[in-house]
Amino acid sequence: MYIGILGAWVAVFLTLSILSYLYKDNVFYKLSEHIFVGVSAAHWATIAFWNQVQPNLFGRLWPQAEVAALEGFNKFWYGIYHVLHVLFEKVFPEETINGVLYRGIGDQPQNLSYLIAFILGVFMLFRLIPKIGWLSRWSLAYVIGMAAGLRLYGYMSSDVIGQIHATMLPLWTGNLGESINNIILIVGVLTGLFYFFFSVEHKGALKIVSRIGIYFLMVYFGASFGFAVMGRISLLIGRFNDLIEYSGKQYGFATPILLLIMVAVLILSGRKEKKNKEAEA
Amino acid sequence: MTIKRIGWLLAIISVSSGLAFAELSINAEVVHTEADGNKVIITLTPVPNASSYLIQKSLESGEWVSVIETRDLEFNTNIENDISTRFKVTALDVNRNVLAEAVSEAITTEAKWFNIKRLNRFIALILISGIILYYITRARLNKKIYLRPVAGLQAFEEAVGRATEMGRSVLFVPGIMDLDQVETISGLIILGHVAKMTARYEADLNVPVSRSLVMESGRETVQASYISEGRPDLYSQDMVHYYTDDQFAFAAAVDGVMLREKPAAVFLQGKFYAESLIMAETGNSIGAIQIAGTGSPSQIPFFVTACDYTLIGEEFFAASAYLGSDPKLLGSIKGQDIVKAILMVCIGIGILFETFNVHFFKNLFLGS
Amino acid sequence: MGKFTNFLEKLDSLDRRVIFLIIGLVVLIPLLIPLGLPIETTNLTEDAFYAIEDLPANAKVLLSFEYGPSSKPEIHPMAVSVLRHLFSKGNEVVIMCLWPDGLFMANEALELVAHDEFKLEYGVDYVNLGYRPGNEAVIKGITKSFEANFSVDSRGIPISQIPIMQDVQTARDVDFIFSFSAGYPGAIEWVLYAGDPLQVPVSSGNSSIQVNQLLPYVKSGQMKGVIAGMPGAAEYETLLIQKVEGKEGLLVNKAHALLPNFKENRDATKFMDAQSIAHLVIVLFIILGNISYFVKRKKQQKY
Repeated sequence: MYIGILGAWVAVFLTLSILSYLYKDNVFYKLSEHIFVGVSAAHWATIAFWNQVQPNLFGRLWPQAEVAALEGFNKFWYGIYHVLHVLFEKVFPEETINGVLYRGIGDQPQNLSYLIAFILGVFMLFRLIPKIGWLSRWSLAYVIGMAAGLRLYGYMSSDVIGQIHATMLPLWTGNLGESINNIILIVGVLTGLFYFFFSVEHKGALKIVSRIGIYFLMVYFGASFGFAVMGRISLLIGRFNDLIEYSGKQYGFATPILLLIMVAVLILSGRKEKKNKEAEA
Repeated sequence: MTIKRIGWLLAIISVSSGLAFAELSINAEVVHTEADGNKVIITLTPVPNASSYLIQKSLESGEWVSVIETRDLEFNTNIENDISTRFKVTALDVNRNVLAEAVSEAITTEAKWFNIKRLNRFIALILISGIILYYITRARLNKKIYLRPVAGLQAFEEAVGRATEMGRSVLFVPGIMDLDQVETISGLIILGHVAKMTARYEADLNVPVSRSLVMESGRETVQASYISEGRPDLYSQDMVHYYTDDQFAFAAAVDGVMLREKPAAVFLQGKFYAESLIMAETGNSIGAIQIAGTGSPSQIPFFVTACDYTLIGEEFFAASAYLGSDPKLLGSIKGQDIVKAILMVCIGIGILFETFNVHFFKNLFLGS
Repeated sequence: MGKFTNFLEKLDSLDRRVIFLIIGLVVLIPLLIPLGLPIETTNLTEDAFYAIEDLPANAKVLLSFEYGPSSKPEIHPMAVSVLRHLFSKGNEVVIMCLWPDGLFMANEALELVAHDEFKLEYGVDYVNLGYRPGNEAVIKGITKSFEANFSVDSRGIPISQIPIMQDVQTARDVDFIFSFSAGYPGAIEWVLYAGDPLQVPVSSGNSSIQVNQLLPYVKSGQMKGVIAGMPGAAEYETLLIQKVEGKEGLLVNKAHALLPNFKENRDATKFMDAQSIAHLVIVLFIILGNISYFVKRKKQQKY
């Protein structure tokens, strides 16, 4: 109950602080900006470690296994895990269930090929040691190469060939409206594509084609801008709705009280600033 | 490096039956009609009075595991490639009495090396890559390549010069995404050129980033530029600094920097999302000269309205070739132009055929 | 006339804080005093609605949550409506998240629709597989195997023990994919890495800003309609209520009983008055701004 009310007060304070930026840069905005940056940086670091590194890397290298049943290479392998457990107990947990000792994380199948990812990750940390810092470039090269490979087919198949297929439309379909739509679409695609020709000088007739292309692009940008305004207003409505909800008695009139306090502080600090300026002058 | 998992199978399990103890016959047929799959389509013939059919499949151990209990006479399931699998169908009545039972023959699916349905994509890939590589080679052999002027590129030097004159800093944001986005890489290449200018003019450079990998690459890029301009003394690691991965928190931080440091030149070059307008609007409000560039179509309108110059879509990718004179980049731009011309011709031919109701050409571009 | 010209000229140098204040007021007032403006449905939303409507009763639908609190006002009402629609038809739902915050959004929507309203059984009628990092690599991964990517669901239950997942081994086994998306990874990645390669129909509910980018995919048939921002969500709410009221198509018994609930709790429709009036005022600003620009330019040309 009290936690809910406290949460509402914090939410209202931070929302109003950020909105106060519309008036001018001020202490409330600065405070909320720093809180936002700090909290989000910590939030992302935590998520990256506990959702990615721990379960998906360590969990694949050392999935949970019964210690007594380990044999051969895995006995040695889970021995390393045990050392890590001693050093970092929370990250590399061991647990006893019904008197049986288990080592490892989660129940994903063991996949030692993740060692490559592990090594590349360690290479990134070598940045801290200038002499071998160059090894981190291998990791960066992997990220870039992997992304290019992963995306190449998808983009080419769906965005290039798929869209070319969709643009091959008849100029006359038997229906006037549909035919006009097709012609507009075709002219838009071809002139738009031509605008992005860099190795040909756009002069004479080609300049007209390129100009038509940029007009089509401008129409697209205009429409996008309209959609963006729509989205921003929706988000504003969402925040206002929360502010209205939190202005009720059950939340201790959080919105009106905080709003009044902030307006008063801003007016006072504005006056002080003015006085200081006058004194300086 | 992905080996296409190929292999597709159609198993038809016909449960032909009549009364409770009717004789059953089962056909299992393997038909490779589609790649990238180990899919099995099971078709049942109805058993009178059956209320549901329990389908089980055999494991390697010989154990039967339930797949589904269904009333449908056709459904899909998958099996593991290269493992001999059998299906058992049990027809049950409302009281769960067994009416009939049948087991299919063992069937095995296998991955194939080549997906014939994607042949057109393969040819296109070879063609596009081939053309681009050819023009890169030509550019390397010192064949001159003409590039038309692009508005905005000349303004880079002017913006840095203005910042120097005013004694204010240059702010460069290489987008909010990681190195796996081509826009980020393009942004970093442009950062390299801008860093050369700031080194020459001795202007302060400030590069806030939202990804750790981008920070590392950004630092290397800026350092290399300062060294190449003979001013390693002006370089400091803090020029490129990380705030947070969070989109709007990063935008708030950059806004704060803009308001307090009041940079004279702002470069927004990379992959942006909804934060683009927030940054560009703040940059505009402090009177900085702003040059934006992005490949994200939905963000270009905001840059166009709030910035002094905007590199639109491919102009942004081409900018790195314009700013430097790397034959690799120049050649790839020429190659891409040729590819675009070929695609336009294809579209034209396709439109002609479609207008005359001939569909074979359009169908060449079908597939997944 | 001269006064009006002067006013238009002054508009050009109007303090932006005045505009902020006006926009704030036109958003706030309709929220406090609703007008009940009618909602007209558009083709984009209808295409998405009927793509789901046409799915058979035993269809399994994969919903992916790719948004967080920052885009919740736009997208969350869509998620609630689509879940209501699917459960009204008796479809089974598999949920996954490509954004970490998506998990909280999915849980919130499921708590309301699956648990409180339809009182459905977890694991049998729906499942929430949770968040997995990896962006499009996860999409590509589930085209091969769900189990390899989601060994356990969001509650830690191994997916081999979840009844609904018994015959959903890859993304190919679902009949429809719906992405609630506010950016990357989102709807486009679903088309590129699952919809197109597997030929599974894809549709999506998006933040308004992305809609233009998705239209080429809708036009080419690679995507079955789009729910565009809050107005799209309001249209979807309207279509769903029309369906349940008119007892159209597949409908489980519970759905009709929940109709008053659907009507009462429709956030997007509730907010549309504020949205429409704000749009109207912004259009006015744009017109006045342009007139002011041209008047000023004409005057400058005179001298």
